[in-house]
Amino acid sequence: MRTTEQKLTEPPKSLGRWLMESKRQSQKEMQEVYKKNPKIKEIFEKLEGKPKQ
Amino acid sequence: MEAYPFQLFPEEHFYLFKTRYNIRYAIRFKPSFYVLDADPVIADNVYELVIAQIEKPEGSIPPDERILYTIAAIAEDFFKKAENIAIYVCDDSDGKGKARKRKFDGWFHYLNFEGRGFIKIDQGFHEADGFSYSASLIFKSENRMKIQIITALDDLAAKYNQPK
Repeated sequence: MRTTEQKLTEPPKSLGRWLMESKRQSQKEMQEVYKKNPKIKEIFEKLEGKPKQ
Repeated sequence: MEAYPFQLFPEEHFYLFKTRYNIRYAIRFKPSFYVLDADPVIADNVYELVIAQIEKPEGSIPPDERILYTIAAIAEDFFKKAENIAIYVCDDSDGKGKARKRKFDGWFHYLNFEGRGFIKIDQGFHEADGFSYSASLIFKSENRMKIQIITALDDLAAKYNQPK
């Protein structure tokens, strides 16, 4: 499960702020992916037991 | 209480579920091998737990305990790989970090994660600029690297808790 993230070569000054920002960024990315990828909506339809449109 | 049906979307490493109140959730264990300065056998198995509401209706939404059970069921699935380690950071940027931590601890206890073979270790961080928060690592008790995992979190705290 590798991504493009690289090992930190220099530690951030504040790990906490860095992690918080990383989490918020991830949440935004997840929302964007959801909007753009119809396959995700298909999965929700399956989960809801609705026929595909 | 029963978890909501959920499904892994492997393309994005998302777990997906929808609640009775029409909130759509995505749960991701984000590869975070860069956080711990530890042996790759530990560091490469660290994932940050990210919970995102990706769609929700307008207005207030009643509390829904089934979400908790669903996230627990998803965690069980994630930890089928016994080497996996989840890191969860309680955001304190709005001053509600302690309340979040209490809630998170309550969930861990309430769902009897300990009895189900999980270990949680917590570390408070008080950084030089005054920013405080807590981070927890969760892993299976059968993880053969548990001592090294605890040491790695201690090392991380020592690095960031030192006054600069």
